[in-house]
Amino acid sequence: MEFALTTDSLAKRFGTGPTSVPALQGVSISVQRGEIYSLLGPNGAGKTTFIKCLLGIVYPTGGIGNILGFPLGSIKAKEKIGYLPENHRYPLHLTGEQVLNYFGKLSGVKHATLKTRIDETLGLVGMSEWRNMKVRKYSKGMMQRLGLAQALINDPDLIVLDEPTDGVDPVGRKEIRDVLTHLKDQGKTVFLNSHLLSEVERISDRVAIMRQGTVITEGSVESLTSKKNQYEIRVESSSIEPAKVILSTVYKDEVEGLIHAEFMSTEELNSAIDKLRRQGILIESLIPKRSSLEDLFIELIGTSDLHRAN
Amino acid sequence: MLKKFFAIIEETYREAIARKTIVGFFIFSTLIILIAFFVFQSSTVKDAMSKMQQTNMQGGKPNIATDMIMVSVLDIFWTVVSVMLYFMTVCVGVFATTGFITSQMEKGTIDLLLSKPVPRWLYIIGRYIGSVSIILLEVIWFVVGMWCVVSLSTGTWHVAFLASIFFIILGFAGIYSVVVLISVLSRSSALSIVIGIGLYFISLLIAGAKGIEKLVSTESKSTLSYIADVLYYIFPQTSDMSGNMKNAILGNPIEWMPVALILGLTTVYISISVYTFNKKQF
Repeated sequence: MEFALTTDSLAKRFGTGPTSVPALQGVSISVQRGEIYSLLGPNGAGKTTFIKCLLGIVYPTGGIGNILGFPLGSIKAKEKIGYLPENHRYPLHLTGEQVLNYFGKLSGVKHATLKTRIDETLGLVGMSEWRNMKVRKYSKGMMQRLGLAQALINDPDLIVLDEPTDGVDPVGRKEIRDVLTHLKDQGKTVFLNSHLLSEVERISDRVAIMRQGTVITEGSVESLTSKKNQYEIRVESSSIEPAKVILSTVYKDEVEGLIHAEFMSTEELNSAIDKLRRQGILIESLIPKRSSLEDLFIELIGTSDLHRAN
Repeated sequence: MLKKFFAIIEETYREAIARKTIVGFFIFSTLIILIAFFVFQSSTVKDAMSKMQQTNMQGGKPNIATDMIMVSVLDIFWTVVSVMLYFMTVCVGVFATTGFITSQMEKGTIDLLLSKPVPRWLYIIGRYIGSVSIILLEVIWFVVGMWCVVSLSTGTWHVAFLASIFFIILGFAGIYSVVVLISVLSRSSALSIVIGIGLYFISLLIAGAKGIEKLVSTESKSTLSYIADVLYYIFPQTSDMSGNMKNAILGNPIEWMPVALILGLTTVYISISVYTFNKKQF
């Protein structure tokens, strides 16, 4: 398996001595090439510090890491990264096109291709129409789109986005999601840091949740949100009562013809299905039950932590 | 690397145009040049000059005394112009260009810049050279403009005045290297400006102290004299550049030791700035 990004026990302390603050306490993650990977956590969990360590904006105090085969923060690694920081600011005297021209040059985009890249990225984020407008006149949503175009100007293999939909209206958010999905289809790796859990759930392949500088859980969205051994069984409406009798030991509740059942093991699930079918009850669907990412997040972080963070 | 370097310089120029202070400096310089032009074209000044020339040529041969007076008057004029220009360049220059460094350090901007495949030192060097070159262009415009206007009017082309460009920019480059360091350390434009302009006056005080010391020339050195000596070798000595400008205009020999010292100190301050910026976490 090829990884776009790996970190091993990445640590960062701010300050020295007894008053120093641990921002990252041994973060180890692996992001596969071509996936959308999201980092979640309450404010102050260390998400932005982690991203800054990846890019060499702050220096880790421990651990190692690798981006596309190069050490964290190295020039070679940065050549392959596109980054959209949170609360980014562009020189207000520049137009959208000039911003891309400037950051394109800094990113090492060749003169011959820069114009084409500017056209492509502006088109991709739907900003072609406002390319000659001064950035100072842009709305928050337009700034975010320009920021995304800026992050893509060097055709990066890894795109790191810190709150990309911050301040963007629902239509704009949908468009940004589409852009990210399009990038994934092109084989790009997207590393996302967002507070909008529903969005993360929709587009991410894998998710890590951080709290107090450590990753407390990591996995695919499906595996994290599925409720172990809980299923929704749909049968014909005439068979609901007999099915409830058969599933009496595992039966939890029934809503709109869906029987919610919890089994101790896969064997127990299969045994129950056998029983239902022996009784001539037709199973219309059997769906593993899921919680939302938000439910999981609150469950893991705890409301007290969320209050403290805010 | 070179393309990235020029991209940083180009952006410094764009920022300079966007900031009204640099444009203001340019307009102000042009106004002074125009005023000088009209003053030298005025009938009063023209009459005075032609009278001097007539007196000079009385009896069919040049009058050495009036010739010397005229040369001296012009020398004093050039010296006063160059010193005023120097003071103006340092004050306006520091005020106008400090923001070029601190604007990069602002939250939201610095993250973006440091995420690019550009070594950190290039941002400092690029911005420094960009800023100094902008001021150099302003100084060239002002000095050459004044020189042309006055020389055309008087008929005397005092080429030595052009040496002011070199000494003014050297003095500014020295002070600006300290401003860059303060900007990197504090990220505060206000503090950097105060220290930058303050340094110009400290340099004058040190020069004054050393001048008094020479006049008094006692055997034992006072504590103040020691402090002045130490400060002389720590801070770029802008007053020495002023002295060299006068030397160049009056035809006296140039003192090269202060030139070497200011070049050395500038290199040291820029190196410390780069080192600090490399270590800094944002």
